[in-house]
Amino acid sequence: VAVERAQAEEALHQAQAELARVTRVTTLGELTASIAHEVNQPLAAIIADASACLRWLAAERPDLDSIREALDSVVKDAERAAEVIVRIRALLSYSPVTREPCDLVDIVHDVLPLAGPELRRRGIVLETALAPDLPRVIGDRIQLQQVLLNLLVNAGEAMRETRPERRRVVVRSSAECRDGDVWAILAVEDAGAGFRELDEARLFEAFYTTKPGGLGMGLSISRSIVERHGGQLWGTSNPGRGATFHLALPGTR
Amino acid sequence: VNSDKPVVFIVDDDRDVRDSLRRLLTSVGLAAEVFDTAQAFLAARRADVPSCLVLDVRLPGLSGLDL
Repeated sequence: VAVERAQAEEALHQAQAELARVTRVTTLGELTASIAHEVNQPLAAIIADASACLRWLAAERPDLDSIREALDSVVKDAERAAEVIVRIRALLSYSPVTREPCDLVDIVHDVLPLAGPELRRRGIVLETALAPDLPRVIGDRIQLQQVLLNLLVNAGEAMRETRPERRRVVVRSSAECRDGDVWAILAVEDAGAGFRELDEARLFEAFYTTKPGGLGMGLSISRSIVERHGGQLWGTSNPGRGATFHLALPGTR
Repeated sequence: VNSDKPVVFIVDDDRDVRDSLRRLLTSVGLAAEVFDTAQAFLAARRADVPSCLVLDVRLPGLSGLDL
């Protein structure tokens, strides 16, 4: 019985990991337009710089300083495009779930290049207030990135009807002492529709969605990921407008 | 900017795109002036009209279409 139970648990964990991966694919699918733009911009810059270099090289006395400046920029832009691809591949990969020390501020820096362009596309100002001395947490870096990515995409979606000048997302990190243990906390604050018309308790239910075309899996999967990390994920209404989602994980210091 | 060359104005919030366009225009013998926002362009605009304006549509604050 113990062996069967262990096998069933293993199968459940695999199914959960696969479900998490499928929802990552779905979330990235929602970001396709802005991610394509994010790769296209450096490619356009590379084409312009390479064309400039060809012209300068055709001159009788090539302007080597200008050529060098343009080539430096080509390298930088190629790295910028490659970095976006690396981040996407990491999120899409079938890599096994790991448990390693992670810094939540690193997670923020991993995710902002993917979510930032989408928020900008929606005319949203993105701000960060990141505490430098967060305790590290133990977990799967990719799954934690997924949770934050989901919160940011939701925040953007929640501000669809918000007046343009009020569209703002703030990502904060902080450390909190709970019963003698230090926890690391990330908060994503939006100025969107908030919970007023929603059934707050249903937010984390599977298949509950307010997005047109949404699957209703994002928050449900995110919460189960966070709980498997021994943490908590919850939402609060802001005093003014909008909502804040909090991700708390036990620190390892 | 050399005043006897036609001036192309570039308004784009992506610095890499802005600078590479400037170099491309310089390489073909044009003068280029760059701005990161529509507001910066409006604030700096002088009496002379640019020969050409390369304008990003999606800009923070005032959009390219608004401009």
